[in-house]
Amino acid sequence: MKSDETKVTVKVNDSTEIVCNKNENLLRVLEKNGYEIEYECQEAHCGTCRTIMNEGEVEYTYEPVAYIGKNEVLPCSAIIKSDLNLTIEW
Amino acid sequence: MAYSTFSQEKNDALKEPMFFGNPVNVARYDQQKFEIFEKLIEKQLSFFWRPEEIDVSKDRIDYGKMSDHERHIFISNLKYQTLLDSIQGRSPNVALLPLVSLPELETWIETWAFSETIHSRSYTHIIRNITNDPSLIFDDIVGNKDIVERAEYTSRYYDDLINYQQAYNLHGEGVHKTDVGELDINMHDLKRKLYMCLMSVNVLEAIRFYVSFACSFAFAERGLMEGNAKIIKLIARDEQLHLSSTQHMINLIRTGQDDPEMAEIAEECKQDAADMFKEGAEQEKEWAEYLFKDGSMLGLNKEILCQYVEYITDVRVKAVGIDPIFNITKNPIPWMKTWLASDTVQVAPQEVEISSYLVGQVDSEVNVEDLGDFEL
Ligand code: FES
Ligand SMILES: [Fe+2]
Ligand SMILES: [Fe+2]
Repeated sequence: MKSDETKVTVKVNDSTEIVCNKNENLLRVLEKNGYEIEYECQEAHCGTCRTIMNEGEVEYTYEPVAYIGKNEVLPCSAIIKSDLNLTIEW
Repeated sequence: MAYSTFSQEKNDALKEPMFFGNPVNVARYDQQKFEIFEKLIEKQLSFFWRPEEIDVSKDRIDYGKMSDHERHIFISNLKYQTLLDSIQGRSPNVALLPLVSLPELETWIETWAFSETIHSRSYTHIIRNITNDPSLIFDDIVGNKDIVERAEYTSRYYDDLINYQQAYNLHGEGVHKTDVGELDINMHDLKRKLYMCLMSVNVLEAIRFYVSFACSFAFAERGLMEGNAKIIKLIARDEQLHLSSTQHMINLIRTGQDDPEMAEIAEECKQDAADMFKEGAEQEKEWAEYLFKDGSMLGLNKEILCQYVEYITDVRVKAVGIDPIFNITKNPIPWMKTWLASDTVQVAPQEVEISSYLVGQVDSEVNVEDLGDFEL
């Protein structure tokens, strides 16, 4: 998975803004920035990492078979494709 | 609504609800109302494994060296897992197949239950290896009060649904006098029982099983019973799919994407479902008490396991639209995630298994170059 040079912004809880490369894995980006997202399978089939995504576009490395609600994303397998707006509950 | 194994009535499965519509007749998958079940089938098939492929021989030595209270934890946990998979190996078929109306869902249910039978067979593989007399362990599952109690909790909702649908098929809607007393049979209650059953299956697979996984992996974290842990890791990967599937069914129902009456029932059952999850969590905590009654083990004790029960219950209820019960957002057993990650699944230490692949994509063409160093 190559990340290109295009920068995107991942906004969390309308407060923090993380600037990262487009095409990076969302879970890794969040982890690098101190968000401990709970995860298990890392292949989009268990649903543990399910997170609220209010806005934005991702693509999946594994086709999700876990349940994803409206406005939700599975960060473990999500490749960031645009600016994102997330709500992360602690 | 008498069940027929091949209803000759023409029906368009794309217009059927998941349950209680026309019975499935032609098993066709060229078109699907809910594609997700077809994807789950493919995924489950790609996960196929056999217990015998896993070498558990070293576990026998580990088991021999364990203290009595550690053996109690290990064996009780194994009995509980055996019980749960005995139930899961048959109940989705018996309870759900007669009610289902979509070919892809019908086949998913069969695929799901089949994978449970692999789990059951793997317990025999494990138990045979640690004792010369497996009956000592198996017979106790229906003889031991603490285990029998668990059986009652976990099979109750399935049995309730099965008995009610049999009565419905036999007598139809209405109030009937039977040898078990007066029965008021109606579709609304039947649907209700199905919804609560799906929730209870989710409690079983997404909470109870996870508590047992924590115990299995706690041994392996100390380098003990690693063959067992390898098997449990494969079981856990299957269970992740199963719990996702019931979450899909529940969410399709409650968000009104399926039968509108079922959506109303989901709303009606919301509190009962929340109470069921809470009750399930409390029962798992009692179980933790029983497991650790003679002492803890390094890395896991009653307190931590109980916190884990609360954490995992919250994760699960949120996934089916119920408010968190315990408000625990951090996993108190961080090492669980290494065991629950698919990418590190290995069948045998020598051969790293790629944890998921689509069978349909396996390249069946053989080139001469591929056979380069191959000698007969
Ligand atoms: S960790 Fe399993 S779906 Fe993301
Ligand atoms: Fe199972
Ligand atoms: Fe299961």
